[in-house]
Amino acid sequence: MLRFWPIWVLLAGGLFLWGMQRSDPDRLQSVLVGRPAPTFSLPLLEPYRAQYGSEMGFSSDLGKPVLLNIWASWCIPCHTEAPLLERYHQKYKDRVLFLGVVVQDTEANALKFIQQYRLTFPSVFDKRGRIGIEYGYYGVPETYVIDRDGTILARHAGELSEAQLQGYLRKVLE
Amino acid sequence: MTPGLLGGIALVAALIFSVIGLVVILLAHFLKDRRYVDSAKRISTLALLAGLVSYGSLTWAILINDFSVSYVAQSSSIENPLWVKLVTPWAALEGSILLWALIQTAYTWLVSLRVGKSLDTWRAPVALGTLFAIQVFFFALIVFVANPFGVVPNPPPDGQGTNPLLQNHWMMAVHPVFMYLGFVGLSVPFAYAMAAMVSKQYQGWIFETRWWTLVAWGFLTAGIYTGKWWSYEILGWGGYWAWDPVENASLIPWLFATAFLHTGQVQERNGLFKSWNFGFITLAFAATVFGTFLTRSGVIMSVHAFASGPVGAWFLVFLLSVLALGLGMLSRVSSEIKDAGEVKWKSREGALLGGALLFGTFAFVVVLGTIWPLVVEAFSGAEVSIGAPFFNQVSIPLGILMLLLMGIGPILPWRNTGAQVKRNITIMLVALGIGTLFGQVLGLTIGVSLTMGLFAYNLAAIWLMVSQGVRERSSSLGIPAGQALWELASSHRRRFGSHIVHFGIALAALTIAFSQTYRVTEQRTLNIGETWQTQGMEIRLLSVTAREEANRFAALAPIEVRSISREGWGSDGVYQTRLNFYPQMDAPLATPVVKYSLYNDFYFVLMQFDQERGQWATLKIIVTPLVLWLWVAGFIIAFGTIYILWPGAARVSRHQMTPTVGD
Amino acid sequence: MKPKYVIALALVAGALLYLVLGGLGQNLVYFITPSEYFQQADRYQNRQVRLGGLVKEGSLDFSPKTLELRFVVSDGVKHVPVKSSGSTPPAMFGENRGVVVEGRFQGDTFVSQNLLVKHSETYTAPKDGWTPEQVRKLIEEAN
Repeated sequence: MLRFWPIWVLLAGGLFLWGMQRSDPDRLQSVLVGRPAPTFSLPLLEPYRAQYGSEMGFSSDLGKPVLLNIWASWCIPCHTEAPLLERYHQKYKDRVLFLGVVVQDTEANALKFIQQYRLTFPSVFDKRGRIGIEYGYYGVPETYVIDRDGTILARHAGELSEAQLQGYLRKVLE
Repeated sequence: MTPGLLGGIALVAALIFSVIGLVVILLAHFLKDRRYVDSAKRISTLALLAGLVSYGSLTWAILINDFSVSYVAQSSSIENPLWVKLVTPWAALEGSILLWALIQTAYTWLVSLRVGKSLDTWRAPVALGTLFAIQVFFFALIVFVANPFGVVPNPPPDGQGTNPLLQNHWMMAVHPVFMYLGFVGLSVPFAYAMAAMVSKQYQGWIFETRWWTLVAWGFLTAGIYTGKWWSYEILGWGGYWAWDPVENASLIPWLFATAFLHTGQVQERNGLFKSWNFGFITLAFAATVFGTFLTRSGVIMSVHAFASGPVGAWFLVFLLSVLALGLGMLSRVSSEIKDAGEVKWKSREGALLGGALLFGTFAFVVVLGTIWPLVVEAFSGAEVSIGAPFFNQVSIPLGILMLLLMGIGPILPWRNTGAQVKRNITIMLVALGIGTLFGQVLGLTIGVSLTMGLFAYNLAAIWLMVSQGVRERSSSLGIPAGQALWELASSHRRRFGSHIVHFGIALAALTIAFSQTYRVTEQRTLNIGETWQTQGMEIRLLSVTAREEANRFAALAPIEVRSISREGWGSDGVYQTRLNFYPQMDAPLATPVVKYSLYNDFYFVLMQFDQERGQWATLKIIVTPLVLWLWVAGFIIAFGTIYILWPGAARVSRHQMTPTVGD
Repeated sequence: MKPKYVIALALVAGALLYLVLGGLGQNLVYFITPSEYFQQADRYQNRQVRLGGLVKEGSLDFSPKTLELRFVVSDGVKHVPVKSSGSTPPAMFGENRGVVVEGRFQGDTFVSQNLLVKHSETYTAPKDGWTPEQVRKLIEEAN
């Protein structure tokens, strides 16, 4: 038995390696994927009202893919995500709507955050947690990728990396 | 200088010292030059200091609320009370790996102090080299993958707060430290085993290794115990062990270490079981890494989902290296360490090997049950989990066999059995029968009665051993029995300590059988002022109120309990059942109120309350017998371990350590 | 080694092996979604399973007095009614949220013994449900 130790070690290694690749924490929430995105409309934060009006949200007649990003000023990954989103917003703003939804936060802190990162993509303020009911998100940051027809293509729990964001954008613009 | 900068520099310094230490000690090994060993000793001191500085800076950053340090921003908060801040370093992944690495440097340093004493210069390079290599792994992991000193460019005004589960009970503050002291402690026996196999000196390592293993074993036991206690007092389901992968991860190394402690004795005495010892030690250390891998990689579903991430893959690499190294070395030397003599089963050696095999089997079964869902999914694609019933079903017969052997083993003489022994075993078996019958007369279930019998049987074994020893000594020296007992207990610490530990284990088994069999759970919604009579208690809900506390917010539902019959004896009092709301957690945490008594243990949990009008509250009560004694058993085991390890004892035993084959 | 010990050892090992392998087979708890259940409904009758999905909107019904909780678990395609009694729902539990219930199918209803809210600790959970301020206000208004 002991003589075959390389086999045992390799077997264990193979099994665990496979196990690590397989795990997918948001398996259950994939229910929303492939279904029409729930519509909503929420008050915009002050800096964006001049450009976009007083309310904004998702509706099926947008005719444009949407990248819905749920964030809060107290969340650390959101701090690293913000400049990235801003950069891609600048690059894609004609073709994709970047829409932020501020949750579990105070308006003052959210405004400070926006100013800090000079965010130009619009963010709405969700005071009552409506988005939680509609989309069933469970943490911040969380990003929903909605295609031109209003179907949810993907949901990304946690921080987006640049490569992941590029991947989603490519998928949604195909 | 900011704490973040200092900590980061110290961390890199610790990594560099560890790498240099490894290189230098390898030179010592290959060039056979003593001077390199001496410099490696000094380098291990430097690595320890760097580790301390790094850990100290993290604590400092937490204390001064420096949220430009990523770990502090993610895992601490201004609001935290001082004691929470002090334990925050091991509240999340990065910090706990830092603590792990720090403890590793401390153990390496301690081992370096043994060089030239018990650790001769031939074996020292390999032993220290193994430890330095482990240290390099951990510091590299911290520096490159899980760095707590990441810079947050725009520090938030407050951090995200510490895991509320950790803040809810002081036990959680000590549990991880004990766990790490135990886990890391097992790296030393592994290093000694490697040294012995490389230098082909298969006997000399065993005494000191047993000592180190017992130290690690003691910490592991304390860690498992505090974890159990914590989950009993916090998680609110009335149990203390759920066979969750995370719990199993702590049990597996403990079982292998226990197995080694038993077979190691035989090798120390007559040189048998060398390959078993090398095997158990390798597996014990590999199991600590396996446990960390399990909890940190997300491979197995667990209720205690820890933050997983890239560290999982690194732990897998580390685990496979440990296994490959340990098993590879063992298979290389296996022909040289074949046991010369044959083992008689009806002797102490036989019983010890049998016991160790049981521990090994148990560990193997726990591993199998833990990874079985993965195997099933790999082959059939179905997602499954293994329920606690499987583990209970297997651990009951194994436990019974262990308790049986635990009584017999120490009573059997080395090598063979004699007439006196037969008489002793008869007495023990009678105790077993009486105990079981007594349980049946009381109307207990057969399982619990049997455990009572086994408790009596083990008690009888210990009594026989101690009393016969005392009688012999007092009659041959003509001294009173009390003095003989005292002299024996202080000169044979290992033997008496093991009696104490065995007694603790038997008591623990008894309480586990009782509490698992006779737990009662009830739940009911009460209006304010309403009373509820159940389980010999009369419970009245006094009010439903709320209170703001420094780092949390609490809903309180005080209740008044009066005992009205024997079952409820000891439950009287007014208790504050509460739900704690932490800002960083969306679910409230129930803190059960636990009232221990000599027999039943009463457990009150606030489940839900009227959020609209504060008129009612839903309470859960759990009544469990003998849980208090489970914790008492834990203290007895700890006492027994300390009794063996107490410095005076080591001196006495070191004489025995000189290889005296045929002693 | 004497033959009688060999036999005794083989017996013990055999019994253990039987116990372990049998136990592994019997105590497998399958983790399924409502769709998977309807594909092989017979197979999952009367055995312990874990059912995962979302709590269907508008299906949640909980009575704090009797502690009976009813809801429908859905995976978007199929729906299973779930009954759980004697325990209160965890606070993170709610409509349109992921849930895992452990229990048995009794006919078409799933009787849950254990209810786990599916959530991840890998990143910050939202401060959902009631905030402390809200709870305090509610209680203060009542008293």
